[in-house]
Amino acid sequence: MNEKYSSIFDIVGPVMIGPSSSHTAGAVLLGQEASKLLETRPQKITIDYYESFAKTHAGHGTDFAIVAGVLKMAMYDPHLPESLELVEQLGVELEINELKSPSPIDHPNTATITLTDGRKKAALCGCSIGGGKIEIKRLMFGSHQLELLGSLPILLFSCSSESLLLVLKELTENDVVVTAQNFCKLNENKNLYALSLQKTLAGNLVNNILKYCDNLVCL
Amino acid sequence: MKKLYHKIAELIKAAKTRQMTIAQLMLEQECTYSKETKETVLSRIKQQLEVMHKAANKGSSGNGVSSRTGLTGHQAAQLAAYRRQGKSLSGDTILTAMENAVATNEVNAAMGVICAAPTAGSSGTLPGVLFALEKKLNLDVKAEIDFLLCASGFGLIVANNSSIAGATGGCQAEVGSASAMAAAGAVAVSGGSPQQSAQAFAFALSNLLGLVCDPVAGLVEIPCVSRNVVGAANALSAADMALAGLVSKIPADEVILAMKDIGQRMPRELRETGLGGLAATTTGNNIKVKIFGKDIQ
Repeated sequence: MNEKYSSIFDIVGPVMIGPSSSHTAGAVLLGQEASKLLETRPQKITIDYYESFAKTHAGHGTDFAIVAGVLKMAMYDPHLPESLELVEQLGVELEINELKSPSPIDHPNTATITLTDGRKKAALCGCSIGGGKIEIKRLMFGSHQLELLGSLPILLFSCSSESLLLVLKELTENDVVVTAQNFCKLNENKNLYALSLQKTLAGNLVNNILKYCDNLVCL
Repeated sequence: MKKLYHKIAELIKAAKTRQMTIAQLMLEQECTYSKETKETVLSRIKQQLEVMHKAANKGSSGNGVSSRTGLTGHQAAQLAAYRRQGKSLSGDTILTAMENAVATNEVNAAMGVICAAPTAGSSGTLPGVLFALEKKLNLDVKAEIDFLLCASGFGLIVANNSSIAGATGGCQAEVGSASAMAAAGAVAVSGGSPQQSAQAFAFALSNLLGLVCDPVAGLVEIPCVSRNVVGAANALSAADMALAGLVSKIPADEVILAMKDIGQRMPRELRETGLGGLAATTTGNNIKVKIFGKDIQ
């Protein structure tokens, strides 16, 4: 059995603003995760929708949900439905595309969120699998692309292959189970790594790992 | 680390051999998974319960709420007024369940705060059944928490073996799953056995197999709000069938696999795309054009 849902609060929950757990709450989470890929607030947000998302995003509030997530709003924030006005006031450009092609990651609720801050460009392709749970299948930083297994949490960082061993040692010593590992080459000495974990890391462990790597992001 | 219960048969067997309720087994499983104390887990469930109470109350008090489109709203309040006249055909318990189910989904459609159970589109079914039983059986908070624990145990098994997303499995995966979870919880708080909870679950899900997801204008309004009425009423009927000793010929775990199979064979027009069924009727299309200004298809 594929255990996509582990907690009773995946089932009785989340507490959220309606109308849809997959198209609204899950969309907020996709936006929140995308926002972690840039250090600053984006100047432009591009959302590409596929399949069910492409057909129903307007009615299900998916637009305001993803944008609210990018602005780091919580999924139960009563001001969530006002995020499109907010982003306009902030002068952030928003582009929404309904794509006719099938989902590149083979799920009906797929969105690719691309954020640019003028200097950097980062994108995430993920899907909302139901009941407010999401999976992230692909990350893009400039010309670099990273394929992922999907389930969160995911630890993202850059370092040398030698430093990776130190990170893995630190995780093993603290009983953190790594369920999948992917990487892409950044330059001669450095790779970008993504580790899928069974559980979210405690804060002190994050600090320990930071000694060995850069650009650490906990998705 | 102790694993999740993968199958309903496993859950029922564990309840029998360990002489525990499904609620107790689920509390134990959640504590093991989250590494939290029982008190912490219980207080979090209590918070979810409070959100459910608030949403149901908000939707049925006074004139109720209305969605931005005006397509749904005020009907829970209308049902409440009708119930108070005491002339309903289906009786006070079913009417109370209907009223709370509609109230919750009207709040959801109005972009209010709700607790998804298991999804937002199906968020009225569990509170519908629970608050009807709260009134009928004078349930205390502890019993209501047990209802949610038991229901979530069944829900986790459905979610991991099939789907709880309309886009993947149609409405059978949302309201169908919610109804089956509620049926199992209803049996548990009515003094039925874990085995009877599984029977109620099997009956409830079997009865809603094939239910499509055909939201008008792609909104979570029509028919989602009133579909939760059938979810709640079906759950109470299925619970009564199980409590009367009726046994589903197809075991619960196999019903879940049937739901998955049907979802996979369901055309995409009927899986939360707003392209088929009620959404594709003349009136459904007119509503879409009226709201979005053009045929967005």
